[in-house]
Amino acid sequence: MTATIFILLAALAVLGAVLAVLLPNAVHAAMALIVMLVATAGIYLLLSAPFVAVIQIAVYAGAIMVLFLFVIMLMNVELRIPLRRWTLVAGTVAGGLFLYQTVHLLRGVMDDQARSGADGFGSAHEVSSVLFAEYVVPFELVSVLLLVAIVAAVVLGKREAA
Amino acid sequence: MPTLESLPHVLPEVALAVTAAALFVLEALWQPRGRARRVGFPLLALGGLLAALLFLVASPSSAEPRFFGGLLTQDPFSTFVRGVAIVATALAVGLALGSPSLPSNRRVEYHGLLVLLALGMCLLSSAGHLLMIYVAIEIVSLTSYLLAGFDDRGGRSAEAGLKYVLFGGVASGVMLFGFSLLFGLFGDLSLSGLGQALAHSTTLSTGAGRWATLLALVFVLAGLGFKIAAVPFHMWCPDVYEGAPTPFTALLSVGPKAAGFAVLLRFGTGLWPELATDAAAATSALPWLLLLGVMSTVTMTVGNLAAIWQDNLKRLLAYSSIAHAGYMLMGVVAGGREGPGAVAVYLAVYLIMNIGAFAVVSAVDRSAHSEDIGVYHGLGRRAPLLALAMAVFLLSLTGLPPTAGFVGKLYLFASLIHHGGFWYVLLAVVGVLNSVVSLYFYARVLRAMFLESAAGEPAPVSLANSAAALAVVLAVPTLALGIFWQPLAAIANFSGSLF
Amino acid sequence: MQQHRTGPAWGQEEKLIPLSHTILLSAVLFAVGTVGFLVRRSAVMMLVCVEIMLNAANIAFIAFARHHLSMAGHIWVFVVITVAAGEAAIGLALIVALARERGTIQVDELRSLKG
Repeated sequence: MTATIFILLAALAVLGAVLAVLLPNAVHAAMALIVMLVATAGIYLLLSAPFVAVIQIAVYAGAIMVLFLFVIMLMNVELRIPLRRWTLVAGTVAGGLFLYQTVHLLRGVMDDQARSGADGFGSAHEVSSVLFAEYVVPFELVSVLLLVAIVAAVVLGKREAA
Repeated sequence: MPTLESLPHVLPEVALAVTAAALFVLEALWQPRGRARRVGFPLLALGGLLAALLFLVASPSSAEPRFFGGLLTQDPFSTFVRGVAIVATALAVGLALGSPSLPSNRRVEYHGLLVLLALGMCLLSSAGHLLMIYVAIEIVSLTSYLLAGFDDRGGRSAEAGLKYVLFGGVASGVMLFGFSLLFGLFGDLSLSGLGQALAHSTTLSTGAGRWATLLALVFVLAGLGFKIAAVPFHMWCPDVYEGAPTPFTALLSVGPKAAGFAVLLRFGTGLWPELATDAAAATSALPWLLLLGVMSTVTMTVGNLAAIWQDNLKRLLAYSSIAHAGYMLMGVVAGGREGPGAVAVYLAVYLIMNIGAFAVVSAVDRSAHSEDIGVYHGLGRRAPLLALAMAVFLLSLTGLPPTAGFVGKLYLFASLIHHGGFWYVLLAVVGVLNSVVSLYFYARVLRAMFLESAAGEPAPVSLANSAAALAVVLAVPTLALGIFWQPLAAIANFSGSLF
Repeated sequence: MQQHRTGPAWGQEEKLIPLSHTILLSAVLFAVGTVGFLVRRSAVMMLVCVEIMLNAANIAFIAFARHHLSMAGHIWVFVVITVAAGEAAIGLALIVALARERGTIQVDELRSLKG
């Protein structure tokens, strides 16, 4: 049961990613990416990470992708820009080799034993108790990052077109 | 050391964060005009940077170097690099005074972002945990993307920013994947924990394990190589340097590079603690050192050869800064106490001479509105003081005596030769050969300034601006440190230790 | 095994997904994202491909987090998602600024800087 759901979600995620890369229309590609992000959230649930799964849907598939779609729709620029065909062929070959190599290497290294998490592993409670004890400094610093992003929006958004 | 007791050790960072916040809030609430705006805000930024520097110098020494439960590691090397980052930022604030390449209604944001960039660089140079490295790199990167696209005259600057974002995004994505592999292979995220896991793990005893670790290290190196602009992760560098506003390009060529080198060194000594004491004993670090050695060779060669064909001074200095990343990588390869010491000396020298060179470019740009080598023809007669300063910087960048650059290169070569071993000496020889090649394109600028006369009636170059003043001021230590190098020796002694 | 309230019920009883499956998925997505970045010519779509790469790394982090029973992987993903938001905001803001000045977001046509 779990395995079937995982394979379905994984197939959906890969399909979404491939379509996001190949679809010529940027709006369609962004939609495909949303499919991938939601499928990934499902996989997080299977891997006992419910809190991250919620964040993934709310922030990633929600906020970030809305931003992308907004910009794509807003701009009156040519949406159908062709792919670089020869790079696609070369890239697919190289990507395939990379995949084979990575999986082959990691197979030999990691024990494949699936482990179930302890009680409450990955819950909001667990995440927050680690986040605000051990990792409170990076958490605060992330707010600096968001400040930079806000300033960026103000500076670049308000400048007069030449 | 737990969180609260660690706070006194990060006072410089706190000062920087408070300064940046104050700049943004004052601009939003008060919106001053006139002199308060033109002079007041840069002074506030400079004051914050000065406060950070004072806190840094006065920071309490501690027997325990790891703070916030190992998230930050502070040692003499990181203290030194934090100092370099803060001074470089202060110089960039000075260069920006009256610069036409920054929109006049956006200067406050510019200064606030510079201070945040300094904060990111300080954190990056003392990060002792993969997550801290990631967050600090992203603070430095995001701020740099925005600052590179700051100039609103024409699209050159925005194009530079966009290219920077795209390359940077991929580089950090690849690095992230490398971090995830390291986390998976060794089950830890702190550098010291990874070092222990590497020493005791059975992962490295199998062939597949060694290759998987190497793959992870290559991915990590992609991200760090991007920050120091090492080949083959340098493609963004010339375009971004050319398009970004010159005062920021000066900082970009020094600050993030210095912080990147600090991470590179700390990453190496964190994973293989032997590297910090006895570089020869670190046999398990061999693939890492081999990667860095090859990167160093390729980086300086490509940088120097590509610089020969450049007619735009900013692009020429961009390729030269790539080559200098290659030189400094030699010190990282040498390891031990001497390697980091040599890198620190070179960073100090590079800070002065490279920002100096960009200050001259900025000063000429203000009158001639171009960075093409053509506008430098006859500069020796039109603005002798400025041309003389540029000559000092160029000779120092080449590494000729009696300039500081010579002393810096000497330390780098010496660290390799003292280490001994055929490959180490060979790397030093490649470095020397590269310095000879670099003489060619630096001398081309010298010839343009002093031997060729300007065509037509060139615009007079004004010396009455902050960039020209800064260039002349920076030329003095470039020469002085080449003759009296005791301060540099003290730097090498002080900052040679990492833990 | 006792079921916990917050985790998924079906994740617990059967013996779960092997690590190699999730790592394979992560590697596939990473490769697709990287190839996509090289193949696409529109700046917006190149940013989208970067998001795919970040997502691939996130899956690996979550998988390894459970493998090592360490919550650090979850914290990491939390941070990455925030960073991705910041990066996307700055990237898109630059794209909008450039599109207003040039009328194109096709990277091949950005040639005012030689290189």
